Amino acid sequence: MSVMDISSGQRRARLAALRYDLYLLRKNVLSMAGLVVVVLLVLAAAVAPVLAPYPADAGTQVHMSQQLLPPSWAHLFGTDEMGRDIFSRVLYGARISLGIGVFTIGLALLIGVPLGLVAGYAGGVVDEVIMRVTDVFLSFPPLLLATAVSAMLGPSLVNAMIAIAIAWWPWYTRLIRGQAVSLRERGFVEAARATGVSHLTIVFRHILPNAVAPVIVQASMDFGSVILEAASLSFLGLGAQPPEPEWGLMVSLGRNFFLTDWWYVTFPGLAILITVLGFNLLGDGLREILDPKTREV
Amino acid sequence: MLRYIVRRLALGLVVLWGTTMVTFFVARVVPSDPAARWVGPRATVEEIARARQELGLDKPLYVQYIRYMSDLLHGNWGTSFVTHQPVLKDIATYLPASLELVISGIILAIIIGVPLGVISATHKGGLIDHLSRTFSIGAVSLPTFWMAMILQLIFFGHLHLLPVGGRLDMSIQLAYPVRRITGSYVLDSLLEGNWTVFGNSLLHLVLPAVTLAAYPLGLITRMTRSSMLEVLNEDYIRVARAYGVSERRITYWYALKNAIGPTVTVVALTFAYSLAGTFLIEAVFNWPGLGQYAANAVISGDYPAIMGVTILVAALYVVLNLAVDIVHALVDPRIKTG
Repeated sequence: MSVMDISSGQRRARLAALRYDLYLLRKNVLSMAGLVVVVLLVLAAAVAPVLAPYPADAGTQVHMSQQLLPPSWAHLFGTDEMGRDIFSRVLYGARISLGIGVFTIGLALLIGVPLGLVAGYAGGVVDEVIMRVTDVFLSFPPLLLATAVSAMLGPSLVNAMIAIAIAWWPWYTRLIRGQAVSLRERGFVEAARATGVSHLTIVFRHILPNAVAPVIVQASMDFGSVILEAASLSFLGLGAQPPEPEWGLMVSLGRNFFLTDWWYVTFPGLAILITVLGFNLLGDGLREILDPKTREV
Repeated sequence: MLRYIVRRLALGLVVLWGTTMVTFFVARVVPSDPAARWVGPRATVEEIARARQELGLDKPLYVQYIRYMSDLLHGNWGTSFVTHQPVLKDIATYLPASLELVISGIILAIIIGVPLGVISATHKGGLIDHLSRTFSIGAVSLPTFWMAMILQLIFFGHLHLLPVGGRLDMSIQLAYPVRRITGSYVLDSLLEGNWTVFGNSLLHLVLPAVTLAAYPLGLITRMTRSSMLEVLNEDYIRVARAYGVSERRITYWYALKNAIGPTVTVVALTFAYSLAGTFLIEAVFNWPGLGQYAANAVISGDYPAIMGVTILVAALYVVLNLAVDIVHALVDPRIKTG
């Protein structure tokens, strides 16, 4: 049997396992609902310019004659105090929310993963120092740390995302360190070391690809929480700034009108709820499928 | 056991010290010019230079840190730019209102969440289970600030049942002054037998407490469900069943007693977490607590106040974490303490 055969056999086994995972996911009604929400969200974000009846309303457009109109066929979600179509703004908001998720989690991974790899591979004092720093960051409630950092950096969406990433990376460090610790002792790593491959290459070429799967899964589950935190920061005035059609900011701006014009805060808030719920339901299903204790047909 | 506690305490102290490093870094190093912030936007160059000297910002970082630590330990947490009061004094003023809110919210979450989690576990896969799982995931997915407004819209705007915000009606506050004992209007009026204030403050508490309860409720329900599922599969439960012990007694006496541990941890941690998260709720309900103090501080760039609240809540988080670990080690013989 050649080397090619082994690897193609392994690939076939992996594909079969993946197909089984998908089968389990399909059987879980709630997770499927989550998946549908997430797919719809991505679609909405992708075709927002086509789908939105008033694409210009995502910006600073002002229609003085159409202020605070209740929902109707012309304006499905009503209009805001500038006369802008809330439905169009909510659609464009999907782009911002997805962007927030990708950027923030990407940044947190960029900080957390290398630190975790180094800690797990090096061990000893390096490990101890990195993990104690991680503990310190984990000892802050994430929203609190993100708020404090974002307040210091100044209000803007980019700063809010950086602030959330600063509060978020330790989770990934912890997760990938555990993987790296167990991989360090494995034969292929020892073989690489014996043949004189540099530590850097071992860590990033040999350990990282084998350790990254659970981190990717965790990261995809964190989308909902990150979007919710960013919306909270925007609500406080620390995140997105007008006229950005960010959902949390829209709810915040609608606060002055919500007792008389209920639609203003209701729809952007619902968009946050449904999005976060979608990611959380999907994540919950993934967790059940990947956890051998709860994995059953 | 003693060695374990001492080791955990030492580790807790290290983490606590680490949090001061982080807050120091965030407060002093991240802002481009803290001195300019200190004197305000219309200050002259000389004033900024003087402020830099007063704040010790011209000194090397390690000197600044030593001074910062010694101030912290001496209870000098700086002066708020907005209230012009020492931050620690402000915290003492605003904390009781937040505690009242957080404690009542968490009690509400426990009262509903634990039975819901138990029922969900005993009816696994059934309709109730599906509903309760959707509910618990929904509860942690809710933007609290939005939920607060929707509740106001329904219960104040449409049904006219509950007040929109604040802790007491202005007229009642003026006509029936309450002596400050604990700082909680509900408790203080109860202790004094002041029923008018008691009823009114309770009405004001309902919506904020329900909003606050949502997140811990979701966590508590999920945690109770999953640990109950694990315990219900144990041999001793099967034995109890074989002996003919009633199902209700098995569930609520034998199983729940052994399944409640992880829930206790979640409750302790969400307590500190909720204290940090109240600023979204307090801002909407105009609840004069620590959260609103922090939210105002955030808006006005009042960084001594922001850092004061941050340190307090982080410290509380560490201490609660530690307390939970130690209590677990004391009551659960399976935890290795060597």
